[in-house]
Amino acid sequence: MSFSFKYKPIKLNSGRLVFKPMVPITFNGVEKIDVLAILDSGSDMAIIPKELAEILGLNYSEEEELSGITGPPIKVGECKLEITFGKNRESYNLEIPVLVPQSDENVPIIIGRIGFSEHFKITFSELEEK
Amino acid sequence: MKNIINNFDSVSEEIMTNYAGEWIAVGDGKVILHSKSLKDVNSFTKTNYPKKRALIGKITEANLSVLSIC
Repeated sequence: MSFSFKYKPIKLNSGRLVFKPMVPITFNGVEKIDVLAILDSGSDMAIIPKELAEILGLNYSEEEELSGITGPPIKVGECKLEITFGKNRESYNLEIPVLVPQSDENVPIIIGRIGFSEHFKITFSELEEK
Repeated sequence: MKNIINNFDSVSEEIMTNYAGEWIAVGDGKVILHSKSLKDVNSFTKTNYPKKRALIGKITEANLSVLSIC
């Protein structure tokens, strides 16, 4: 069985549109919330905005530093989050590690590799944008 | 599962570009609420879409694409 999701456009700060791999995922915290997340093969771990973590009732651990290719590192906490992912009659419940910025950083909802990609064979088709 | 997929499929380029910097809730093929506050969006959807559930997304203006733990 396999399933696919069409890329969605994101407007960059420059105003340019880029199409990114995005997926629908259910976050199962104290509330169940269906979210639109970026599937980022270049990200080691998932990261979610602090306000979303608060609604989900996540308790995160000691701070560590997170850095991207630009900008200064930001302080993040780490926790586990149960998610449901799939399409049609095929769905999977996984527990993934998630990073939460300790300040109100403007981060999107990102699903990284650890805890997620080892469960699937993931193909990014830029040609088909899916 | 069907509902979340339908909501995902209805997230159009128009939605992704018109609400930059905001949280959106998508249900029944349209944006049912958008706000800078996730709490507002979530409480609205819980009240108005208790069974069907809406798809919530943060529409960012970004250049963030590579992350690693240091």
